[in-house]
Amino acid sequence: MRHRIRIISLIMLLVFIVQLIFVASNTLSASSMHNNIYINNSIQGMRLNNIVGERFSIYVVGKYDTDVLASRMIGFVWSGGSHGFVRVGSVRAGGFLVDVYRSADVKIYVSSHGFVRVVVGDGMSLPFLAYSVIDKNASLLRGFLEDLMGVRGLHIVYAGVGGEKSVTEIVETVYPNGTHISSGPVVRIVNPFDKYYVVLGGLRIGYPVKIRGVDRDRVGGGAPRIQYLELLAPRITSKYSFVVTKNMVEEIKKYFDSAFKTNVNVSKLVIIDAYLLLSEDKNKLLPTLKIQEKGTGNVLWVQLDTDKTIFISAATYASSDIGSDEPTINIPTTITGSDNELNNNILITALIVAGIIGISIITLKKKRH
Amino acid sequence: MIKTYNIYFDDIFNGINVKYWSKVLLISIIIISIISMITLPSLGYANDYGTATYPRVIIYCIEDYNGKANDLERLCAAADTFASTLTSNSSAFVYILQNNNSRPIYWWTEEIGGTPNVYEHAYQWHYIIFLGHGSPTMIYFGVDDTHKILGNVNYVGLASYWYINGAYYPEVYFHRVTFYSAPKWVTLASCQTLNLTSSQLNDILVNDFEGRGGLSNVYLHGIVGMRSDFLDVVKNLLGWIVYDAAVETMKDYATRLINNESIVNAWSNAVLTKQQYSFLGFSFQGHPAAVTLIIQGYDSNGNLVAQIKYDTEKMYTIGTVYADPNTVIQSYLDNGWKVVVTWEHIKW
Repeated sequence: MRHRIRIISLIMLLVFIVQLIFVASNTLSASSMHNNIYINNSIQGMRLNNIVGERFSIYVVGKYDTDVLASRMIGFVWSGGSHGFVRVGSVRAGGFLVDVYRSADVKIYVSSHGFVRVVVGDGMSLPFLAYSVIDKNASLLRGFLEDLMGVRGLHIVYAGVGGEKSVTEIVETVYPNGTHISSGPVVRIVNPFDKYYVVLGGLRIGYPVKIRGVDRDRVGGGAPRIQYLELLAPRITSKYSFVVTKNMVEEIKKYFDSAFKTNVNVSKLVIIDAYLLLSEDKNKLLPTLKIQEKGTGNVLWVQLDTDKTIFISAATYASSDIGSDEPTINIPTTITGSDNELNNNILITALIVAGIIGISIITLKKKRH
Repeated sequence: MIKTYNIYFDDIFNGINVKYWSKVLLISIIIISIISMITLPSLGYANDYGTATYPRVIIYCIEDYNGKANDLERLCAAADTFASTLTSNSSAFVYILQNNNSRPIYWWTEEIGGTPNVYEHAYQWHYIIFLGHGSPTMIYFGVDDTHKILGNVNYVGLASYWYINGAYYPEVYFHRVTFYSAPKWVTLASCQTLNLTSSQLNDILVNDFEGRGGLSNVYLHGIVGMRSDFLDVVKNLLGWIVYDAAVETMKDYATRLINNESIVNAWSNAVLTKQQYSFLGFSFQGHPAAVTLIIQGYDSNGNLVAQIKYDTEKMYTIGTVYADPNTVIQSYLDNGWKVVVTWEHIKW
C-alpha cells in the first residue's frame, strides 16, 4: 500500500513537471506595428498625489462560450451572412487559452475572456476600404460591442489609422541638364487598419480594436465587409467603484523605492498613462496606471483594486519623455503550426505520461515480487 | 642521353650564415606585426570610396549622466555585447567610447564647434552607433561641450542648423573628412529619435545627409533608430533585472548583421523581437524606424535602367555594400539619365 502511494505521488509529480515544461515553453512572436495615440483622460499627466479621493470603477468579467463568440464574430464580419467553420484546436499565448476555428477562407481566434482575432484569407489581400468609411460614426461597431459586452451606452473613440508599417516619401528628381524638382512628402501605409478604443468610465480598455475593411463593390456578392478584426471585448457582468486613498499612494511610492533602489519624492511621481487591463486572474478589468518619476526614464506599472494596489512591473527607458502604451496579445500567426503544435503537445504529453505510468506499474510489480 | 644532377641543400646556402638570417627574418616579422596592429585600424582601406578591408564601427554609450538626466543601467553592457558578438564572427573593428568619453564635439560639424579631425569623431567611421537618452531629432550626452551658438550643452540636434557669419551650417553632417572615412550608417538606440514630423524629416535630409549642399554631397546611406521609446531594463519589485532589453536587442542586432540581414532588416527585426516585454498576458512593443533612400536612373525614353535601394544594403565584408549616394547620382547623370532620389522614412 505504501509503495502504491509512493508510485502514485511520483506519477503526479512527473505529470506536473511535464505540464509545467509545456506551459513554460510557449513562445511569443513579434506583433505588428501600431501608431501610438494618446487617449486623453482626466488623470493623464496628473501628479500621483492628486489622485487621492478620485473614484475609479472595476468591471467584473464573465466568460464567453467560445463557439458562440466565434459565431457572433462571423456574423459581424459578414454583416449577418452565414459562414460555416469548425473548431480545430487551441493555442496558449500570454496566459490566454485561445480556441482556433477555421473554414476554407477564414481563421478565427477567440478566448473566453473576450480576445478575438478574425482573419479572412490572409487578412490583407481583398480590395481595401477603410472601415471608418464603411461604418462612418462607428455605430455598427458600437451596437455590436454593446450587445456583446452587455454594456449600454458604450463610448467608442476613433484613434486613427495604424498599419504594419508606414513609409513617408520625399522625392527629388534631377535631370541631365541640371533641373531639380522636389515633391512630397507622401505617406504610404502598408496593410492599414482603423483603430478604435472602447472607453468605460472614462478609461479606455488598453487593447485597441483594429479593423481592416473590404471594398465589397469590387469583390462581388457574399464578400465580408471586414478582412481583419482584432479586439478585446470582455463580457461585463457587473461593476463597482472605489476611491483612491492616501495609503494606496504611499504603497506605490514604496514600490518605486524598492524597484529603483531610491527614496523618491512622491511629488515627482506623475501618471503618464492610464487604462483598463485584465487582472492577473482575468476576472476583472482593473484601472492600470503607468507612473514615471518626473525627469527620469524610470517607470512603474500598478493596478488599483478596491483597497489595495498591485505591483505589475518596472522599467527604465532611455528618455524622460515617455509615450503611451498599446498592449497586444501575441498569437502564433501560422495557424497550421499553431494548431498542430497543440495537437503535437497533447500527443507528446500523452505518450510521456503513458510511459511514466508504464514504468511505474512495472516497478510496482517488481517490488511486489 | 639523360643527364642527372645531384643538388645538395648545403649548396643553396653555401656562403650564407643561415642562423643569422633566420633571426633577421623572425625579428622583421615581429616588427611588421606590431606596426600592423597599431596602424591597421586607421589605414586599412582598399579604395577611393572610403571602403575599408573591414567595417569600422564606433559606439558611443552613456549610462552615467552626471546628474544631467537619470542614469541608465545596461547601455554600455549592450555596446560591449554588440562588439563581442559582431567581432566574434566578422572582420569588423569596433571602438567603444563610454560615458564621459562620449562627447557632443564628436558629432558636431567643425563650424559649430565639433572636432571632425580626431579619431573619436563620428565622421571618421563607417558605422556609427549611439546608445543613450534621446528625443525626436535629439541625442543627449553626460558631459557639456562648447557649441559655438548654444554655449555649453550636452546634446546634439540632428535636425538643427545655424546661421554663422552670413551662412547656414548644419549641426551634424555625416560626410567624408579624410581620405579614409565615409560614414555609411548611423544607429540610434535612444528613445524616439526618429519619431519625426515631416519638417523634422526634411531638416534631417537637408542637414545630416546633404550638408545643406544638395544631392551631390550625400555620403550617408541611412539612419536606423526608434519611433517609440528604447527600453534599457525591466525590473521586479526587488530591483532585480528580469529582462535585459538593451543587451538582448544589441546582441540580436549584431547576430542578424553577421547572418547577412540588411542593416534595416537587422535593426527592425531586433527591435521588434527584443524591445518587447509582457505582463498580465499582454505584450508591450517597442517600434523601430529608419531613414534611407532609393536612387533610380531613367534613360531618355523614360525606362528605368538602374536603381539602388539602400534599405537592402548589408554590412561591409558580410554582404553587398553600395557606393556612396553622391557617386551613384553623378554616375547616373554622366550617363545622361534622369535621376530620381526617393527618401524614405520607414516606421514600424
